[in-house]
Amino acid sequence: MTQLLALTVACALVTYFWRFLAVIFSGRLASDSAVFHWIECVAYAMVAGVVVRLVWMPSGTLATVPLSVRLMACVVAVVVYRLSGKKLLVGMAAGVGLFMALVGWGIEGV
Amino acid sequence: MSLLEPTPRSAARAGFLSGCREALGAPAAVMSAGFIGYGSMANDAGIPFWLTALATVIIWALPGQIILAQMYAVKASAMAIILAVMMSAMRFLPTGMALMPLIQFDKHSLIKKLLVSQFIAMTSWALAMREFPLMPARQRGPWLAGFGVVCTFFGIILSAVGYLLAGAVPPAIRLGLVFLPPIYFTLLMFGDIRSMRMGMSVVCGSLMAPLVYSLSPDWSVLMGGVGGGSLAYWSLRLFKKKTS
Repeated sequence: MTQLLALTVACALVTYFWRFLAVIFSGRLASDSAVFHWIECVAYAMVAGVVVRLVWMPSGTLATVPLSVRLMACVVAVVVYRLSGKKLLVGMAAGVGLFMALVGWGIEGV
Repeated sequence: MSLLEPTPRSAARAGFLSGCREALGAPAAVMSAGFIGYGSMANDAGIPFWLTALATVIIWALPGQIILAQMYAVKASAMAIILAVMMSAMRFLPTGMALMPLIQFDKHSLIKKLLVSQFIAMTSWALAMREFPLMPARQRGPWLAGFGVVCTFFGIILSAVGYLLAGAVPPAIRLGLVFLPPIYFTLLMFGDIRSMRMGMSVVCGSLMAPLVYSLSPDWSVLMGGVGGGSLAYWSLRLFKKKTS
C-alpha cells in the first residue's frame, strides 16, 4: 500500500506541475499558440484512447461482459445524448441502464 | 471608498459564496456521476478507499484519476503510470494560463495564486470562463476557491458512494457502475465534437490506442495520446496549408 500511496502522490505532483507552470507563465505567453494547439490535440487523443481501451479491451470484471454489450451501451448513450439536446445525465442513464439490463438478464454476445 | 463599494473582504466573501452556490448546480450533477463511477472503478481495481479519496483531493482531475486506477489494475509500471497521468494533465497549462490573468490578486500573493490554481480542472475552467466576465475581478479568485472546495467535498462523498455501492449491489449493477466512466468520457469525447481539431484528435487517438497496445501495453496510454495527438495536429496543419 505504501507503494500505491507513493504512486498517488507522484501522480498528484505531476498533475499540479502544469497548474504551477500556468501560474508562473500566465500573462507571459500567448495561450493561443501552436504549442497549445498541439497540447489540446494530445489531451483529446489520450482521453479518447483511454475510452477505447476501456470499452474495447477492458481489464478486471468488465472483461467478463461481451464486447457487443459494451459497444451497444456506448452507442445508445451517444444517440440518446444527442436526441435529448446534449443532456449528459440523460445519455449516461440510458447507456448505463441498458448495460445493467443486458448484463442482469444474462444476455450473451450477439 | 464610498459606503456602497464593497470592501475587499466582503467582495471575497461574496465571490467565495457564489462559487459554492455554483458548485451545487447542474455541473455538480454531471460530475457526481463521474465520481460515483470513479469510486466503483477504484474498488474494482483493488485500491483501498482512503487512497481513492486522497487521489480525488490531491490529483483533482478525473481523467488522471481514471488513468491511475485503470493502469494500476493492469499492473503497469510506476513510471508509465506517472508519465501518462502527467501528459493527461498537460492541458492545465493552456487552460490555466487563459484563466489566471482574469483573476485580480493583491500584491505579493504568489501563495494565493498557487493555492487557487489547484482548482483548475476541466469543469471549473469551462464554468469560470463563462462566469468571470459577469463578476468583479476581485471576486474571481475566491469564486474559484469556493467552487473548488465544494466540488472536492462532493467528489469525496460521491466516490465513497460509488466505492461502497460497488461492494454492496448485485453484479449487474456493480458492472454498470464500473462502466460509468467509459460512458461519461464517451459522451464528452465522441458525443460532443465541437471543432475540427477535437474531431481529428479523437479519431487519431482512438485508432492509435489499439495499435500501440500491441506494441507495449505498459506505455500504450502515453504513446497513443502523444502519437495520436501529434498525428492529428500535423495532419490538420498539412490540410490547412494545402487548402490555403
